[in-house]
Amino acid sequence: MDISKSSSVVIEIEQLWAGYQQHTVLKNINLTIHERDYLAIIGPNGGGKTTLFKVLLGLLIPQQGRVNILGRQTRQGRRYIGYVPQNATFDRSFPISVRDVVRMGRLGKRRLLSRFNVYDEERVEQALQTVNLLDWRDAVVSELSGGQLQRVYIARALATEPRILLLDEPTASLDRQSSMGIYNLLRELNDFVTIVMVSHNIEPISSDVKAVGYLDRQLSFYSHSQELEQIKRNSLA
Amino acid sequence: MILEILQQEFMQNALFAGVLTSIASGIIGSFVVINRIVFIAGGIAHAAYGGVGMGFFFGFNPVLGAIGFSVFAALGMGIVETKTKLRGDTVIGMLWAIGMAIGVIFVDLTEGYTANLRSYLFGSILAVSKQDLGMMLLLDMLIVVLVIAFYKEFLAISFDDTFARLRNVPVDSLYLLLMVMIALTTAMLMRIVGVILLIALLSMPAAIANLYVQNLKKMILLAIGLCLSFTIAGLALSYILNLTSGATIVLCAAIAYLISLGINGIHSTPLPPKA
Repeated sequence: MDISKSSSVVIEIEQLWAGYQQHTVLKNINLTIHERDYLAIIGPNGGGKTTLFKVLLGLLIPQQGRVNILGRQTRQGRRYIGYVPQNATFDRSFPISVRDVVRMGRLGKRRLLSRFNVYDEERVEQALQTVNLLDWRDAVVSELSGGQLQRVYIARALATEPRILLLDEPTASLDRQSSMGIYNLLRELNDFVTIVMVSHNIEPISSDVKAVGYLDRQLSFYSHSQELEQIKRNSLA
Repeated sequence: MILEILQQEFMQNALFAGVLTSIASGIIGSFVVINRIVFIAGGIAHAAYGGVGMGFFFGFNPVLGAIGFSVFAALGMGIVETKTKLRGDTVIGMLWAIGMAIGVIFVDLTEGYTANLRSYLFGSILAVSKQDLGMMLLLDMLIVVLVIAFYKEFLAISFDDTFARLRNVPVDSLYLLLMVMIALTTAMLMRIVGVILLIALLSMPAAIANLYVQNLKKMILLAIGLCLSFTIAGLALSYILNLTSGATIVLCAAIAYLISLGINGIHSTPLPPKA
């Protein structure tokens, strides 16, 4: 096995079927994602984007098929994934500071009953620095704008020291300027992490992404720019 | 005159009981409010009455019966919420009523004098015994130790349980532990304001605190202080005006809550926009 680091496989999905009870959503999905890939997944509502994420995060057991994250099953492999949820369902009056949200990223590194240590706090500060919110670390989340909140979630994901970032519609409900800020940040992060993103609009990131998947129960995979153009036209139409 | 009142043993016991229950209620009430599970806590509280009735019938301490019943109901509701696809609110409502019904039936079956039953329904802080205080102290210590030990995990599962699960935090076990602590707090509050009214004293101090502070530790401390203030104020008023203490305490909390809402404005905690 002589695979150079830049091309090593981080996520491997083979013949995946998944869904809920008798209802199969995902049909025969095959997907290989390499280190430092930047994959955008688009597709209609109900096409299975959320289901695919649940499988990748080990929250839904597949009906059939194999899913590996860095050669491990999802329950073990998910510790290498930094997950950034959609921020639509959020209790704005929840009494928590920016720093405490980002600290959650360190939970898996510390056992029950042990406290966060100096190293944890350093990772938290560094993650906040990366998303340019260090000055906001003691702010309460209710004071943040939608774009800032999204960056806090990205910082929390970064605090897990992830190999892969998994983002669920990171710019949904954000204005154009905030969205561009998120995309610029992701482009920089892609220098050292693999990015997989569900998106409703790939136009602003078409020059950043290295591949686009179109998921409508089955996954079609595009990596050449001509095909990308085609998909873009389709998704806008 | 105040000194004379304070020298009476039942009044000292009442004040100690107020301090001890306020500690548990402020801590657990804050978690109940931020997790939006006031309805579950209400169900646990009412189910406890089944244990009270059994205590009367079989002749053991009704508080022990309440602890047993409420812990059982709490675990049942917690398991339904986390492990099954049953409608959680339906099951909570059922356990709520079943617990009360069992209590009523056992009290019916109990022969003889059951007049102080009222103190379990509406509370009787002046009837708290030394034995009750010992039990409250024990439960307080248990709750404080558990919450300090698992504070970062409890904060995480309250804020975002999915993310906590992804970090391999044992979310379901911690949730059940929280349910059990709600049950224990319920059993303590029952002596102060009774099973029917206790949900108000559990949730209102924390809800008020959340209007003023945006940090969970501060919220807990403020909720403890508020809960104790309402207890003392209600106790004093009920003593002077010769009213039921539990109801007076609850109304003190309710008035403070309404005033706080008025000061802070209902708009100060906007709901998130629908996506």
